[in-house]
Amino acid sequence: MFVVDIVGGIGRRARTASTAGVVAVRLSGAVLRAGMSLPRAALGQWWGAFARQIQFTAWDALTLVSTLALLCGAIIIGEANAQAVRLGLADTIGRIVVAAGVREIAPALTALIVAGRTGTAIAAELASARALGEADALDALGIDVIQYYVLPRVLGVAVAAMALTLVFDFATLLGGLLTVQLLQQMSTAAYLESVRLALSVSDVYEAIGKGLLNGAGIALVSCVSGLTARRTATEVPRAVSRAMMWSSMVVIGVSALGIMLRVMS
Amino acid sequence: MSAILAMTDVLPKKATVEWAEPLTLNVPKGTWTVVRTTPERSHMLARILIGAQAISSGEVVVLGRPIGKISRSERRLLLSDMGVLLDPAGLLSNLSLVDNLVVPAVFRGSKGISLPRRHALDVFEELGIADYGKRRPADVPEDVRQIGALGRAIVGNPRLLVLENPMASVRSRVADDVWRICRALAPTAIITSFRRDEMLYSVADDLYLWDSAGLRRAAVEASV
Repeated sequence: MFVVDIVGGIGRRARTASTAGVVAVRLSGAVLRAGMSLPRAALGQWWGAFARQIQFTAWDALTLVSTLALLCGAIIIGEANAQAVRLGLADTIGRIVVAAGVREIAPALTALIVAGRTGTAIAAELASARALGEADALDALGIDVIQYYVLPRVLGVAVAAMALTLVFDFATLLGGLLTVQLLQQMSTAAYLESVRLALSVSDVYEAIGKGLLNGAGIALVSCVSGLTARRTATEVPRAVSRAMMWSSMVVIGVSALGIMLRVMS
Repeated sequence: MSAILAMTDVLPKKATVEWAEPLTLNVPKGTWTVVRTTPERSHMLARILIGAQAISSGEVVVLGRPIGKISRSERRLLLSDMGVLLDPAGLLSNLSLVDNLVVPAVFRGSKGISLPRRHALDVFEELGIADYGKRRPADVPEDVRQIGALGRAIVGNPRLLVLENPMASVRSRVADDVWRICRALAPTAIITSFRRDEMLYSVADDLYLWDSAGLRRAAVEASV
């Protein structure tokens, strides 16, 4: 009986996860449709929500992200420098900071910050809107809930996450530069040359792509989590925790996708 | 009189003990119909009438369209001809009361923002809550909130008004005035309620009681 319970539990979880996946895919299509049929008069209202989303996600988190990125760059360089000098590979410092910091850590850490700040806020707001009957009332008034709630959030968070990822990348490189100067084991010019050689245009495109995908994915799963919550106040924290969990999966998925595409190319 | 709303042998998809028998009900044009029943049936009936809850059998025809069988975009178009107030009223908490009337109009395809705003202010003036227009729902008393939500339902001169437990907290003298204005703006309405409310009975042209014995018409005067 114990084994049956375990298998049953796994089956239930798989079904829930696949249902959530199907909902997310269907919602993506609905978001596209909603974007194309947005009434002209609603554009002003919509831009307001879009701009507020960018302000909350990117501008308000700028200090936090920059500080983290500086520290991140400093840690990577501090650790890599010690090892590289010991092994006589000091000229690979730039490659390490680009490969680890710019390509992988920056998009993932930025996305986790966005998930923790914005994704949870979206899930809490929409779950509250469900509990208070706001989402049902909008639907009853003939308003597309996806147009009103989901579209500005998905696009706003996507743009904001992309911008934050680029800021994170830049601040990581800056953190590395400051550390190199502090440790005095490598000249500034040598560090910059090493970074220049390691960094390519495709790295910037990758950061932009990952930022957009992470942002859109996080906003989408957070909206799904909020809008599928049951109509009670106790569902709000559950929706928040679900959003955080699904967002983490999105971040890992996007990182894995990036590695796969790089290996394939 | 032609029926604005016709329900024939309707059973909800979510089977319940309370709603076990098929329901047939017509709301003729130009009448206000009140259905008093249990909270669960009232809740389900209101949502079936707006196509938010699926049915397992029968047909619901609203303003000449089978609301459960039409596409989502057609349903939204149909709902924009109706005025709906559910319980809870669901006023958007981050908007002022006036914006709660303006924003839905704008998203429903109104050409600009100034006309819906003027209509909203006119309705609030008539309903006697114009002083609260700029405040958010959480900053106004419960009765003003309920009148505001009703204002949102009637602002577009709907062809059919669907109300679920409206104005539970509104004093009877104020409610009398509000109902008079609502009747002027929306000639046809169906109200579902579980409350024994004399004001609701007095506003009704047709009153139905729906209990375990089924749906039956009651004399409005006798109920009052």
